[in-house]
Amino acid sequence: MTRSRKLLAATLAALVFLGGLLSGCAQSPSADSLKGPAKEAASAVRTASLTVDLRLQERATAAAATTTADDMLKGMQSATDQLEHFGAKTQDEQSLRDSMLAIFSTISRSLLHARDALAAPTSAPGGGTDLAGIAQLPAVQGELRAATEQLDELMTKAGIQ
Amino acid sequence: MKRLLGVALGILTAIGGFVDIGDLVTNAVVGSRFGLSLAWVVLVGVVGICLFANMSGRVAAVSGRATFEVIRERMGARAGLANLTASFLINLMTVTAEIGGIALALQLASGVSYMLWVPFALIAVWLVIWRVKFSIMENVTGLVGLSLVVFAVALFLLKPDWGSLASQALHPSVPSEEGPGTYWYYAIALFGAAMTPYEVFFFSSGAVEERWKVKDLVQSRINVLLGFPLGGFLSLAIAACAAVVLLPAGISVTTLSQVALPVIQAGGQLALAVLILGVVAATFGAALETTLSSGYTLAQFFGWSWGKFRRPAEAARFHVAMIVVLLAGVAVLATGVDPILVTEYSVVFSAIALPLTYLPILIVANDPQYMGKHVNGRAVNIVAFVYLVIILVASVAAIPLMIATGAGA
Amino acid sequence: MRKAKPLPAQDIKPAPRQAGLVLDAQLHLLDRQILDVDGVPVTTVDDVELSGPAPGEPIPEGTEAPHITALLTGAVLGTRIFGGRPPSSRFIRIPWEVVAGVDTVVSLGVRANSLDASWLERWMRDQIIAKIPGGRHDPE
Repeated sequence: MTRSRKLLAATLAALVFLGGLLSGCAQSPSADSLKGPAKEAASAVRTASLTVDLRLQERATAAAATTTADDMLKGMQSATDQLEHFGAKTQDEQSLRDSMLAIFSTISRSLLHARDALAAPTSAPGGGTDLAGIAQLPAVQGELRAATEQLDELMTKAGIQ
Repeated sequence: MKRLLGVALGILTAIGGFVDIGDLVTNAVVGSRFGLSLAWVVLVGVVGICLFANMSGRVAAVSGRATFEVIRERMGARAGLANLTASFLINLMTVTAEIGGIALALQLASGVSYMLWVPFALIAVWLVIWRVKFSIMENVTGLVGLSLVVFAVALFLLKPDWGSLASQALHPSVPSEEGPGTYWYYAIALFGAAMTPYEVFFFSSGAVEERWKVKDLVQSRINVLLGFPLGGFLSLAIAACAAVVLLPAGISVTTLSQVALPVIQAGGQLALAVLILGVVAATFGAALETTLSSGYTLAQFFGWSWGKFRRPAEAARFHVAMIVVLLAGVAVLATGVDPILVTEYSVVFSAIALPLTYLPILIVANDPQYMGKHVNGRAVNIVAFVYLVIILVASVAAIPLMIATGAGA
Repeated sequence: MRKAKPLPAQDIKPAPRQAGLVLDAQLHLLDRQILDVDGVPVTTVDDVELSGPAPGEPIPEGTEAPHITALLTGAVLGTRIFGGRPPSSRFIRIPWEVVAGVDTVVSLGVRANSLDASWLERWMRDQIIAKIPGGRHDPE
């Protein structure tokens, strides 16, 4: 029994060591640490864009579209959290992080607008007078596209693909 | 005629029952990030689960003994207990993920936060386990789960470039944005999703529940050999939908709502409704199976009376254990942890724990004391040994890859 | 007990049907499922109790070879795995007299409800499961 236990312990130790080694190799310069949150944000804002399109075509239901927007808002929240915990070492890194944070908040804002517009019924009963709902969606779409472009530009500049 | 109907029903439920939250999420994630370049893993996984389910079904039908009784008898109390602990914890994780999946699908239908659906899902799952007959439970969830075929329909409606999909699948390569570590990590996740061990506990205990005899083995073999590969096709359709719509749009899947987008794009609100029905049925069915599996494993290890063919009062500890498992799963969800994250981890841990169930089944399937003349044939044993190697490699590589890639981030 | 040698068949007292069969306690008894006379699972063989001098004591000349007096279950599983030994008052014993057969399962000649080993099952049945509506009905 003791022999097999020793073997087990040795295997576990080897696994942990190997894992540490591999993650050590993957440990990378700043662009890579910003890559995770940046990609998450890029995916979130594009998802919202697609959802707004589908809603404009009346393919998606209001429930499904708002669920998606809510999910993306949560995703942005976690991406922002990650970015805030990123310890910038150089001036360059810090400025990159700051501009990214600014874009993240633009994205979050447009996601909030998208969420509100998506939640409204497509055909307001009694000829709705308010600007809410489907009428706002094209404007929201524009906002989302602008935010996407800003993020893409920054990511290209920082060399994140 | 009746027999034919039975066979058809069995195949259909096997297809519908193949896909659960793990398959849904993992295939969509992989499709949106790697296209169809991991399609070969689904193939390997499907052949594996066919082999494995067949063996455990045969062991159960011939010896009348379910998997965990056999595991304890063969491995002894000590190794058996270690195995039980690992299997049980992974099962619990899967129960949590499936209940979360039901709730997320209901959120997609209603727009009401999934957290409010969790208690509802819990009570529904428990009521079915408490009161509904095994065969009805299996057939209904399996048949309704078939509406996930909507993924295949959506794929056709999307009019993809079939040639490029085929070349992605036939000439797999790591996409430029992803590292090889991530690629292999998701290969293991996909393998774990296809070969989830709970299906084996469930399959073998189900054989005892339905009192299979040796003569029923032919039918079960047909169910498995046709149903599971067709279920595998369904998995591939999920991945392909994501590869066609989400990958070019630069969206990588992290939520269930994103999984639905390609179907919505292809088929609009009707397709969405069918999809939600399918997801609820598939996750509900899997929640039942995993909850029962955790009861089965505990009861079989400790020798308690178990089974849905008995009244709850005649299998008291079995039912108490399942109530506790359901409550524990809901308690985990109540912390606000993302059910999709739980799902992603559960499939990888399933892959890690696979040897624990696979090896004992393989040994017993070769033991004439249990199996008489129904021991594994030579061809089966050769394939089984190849799979043993694959399973061991996947199991050992999973944790280092998980650490190295930050769980596939 | 863990080191139990294969027992000569004549020492397993009430097993006339299986005369001549050699049982390895480790292989054929320990961790086997126990079923009652109706085929209802009772428990698993967590350990066996042997007659004769306690382990470690000198064995006097001419002592009768030890034989199985009972199958044990309950807390002994924990001590068998993690070591140690519960006081014998804590043993949950299934006397060897009620064992009717040893095959891939151990079958008893009595009903589970008559045994101490099923007390927890009965307690959970009477105190929890039977009190929930539908607990005594067949599934539909």
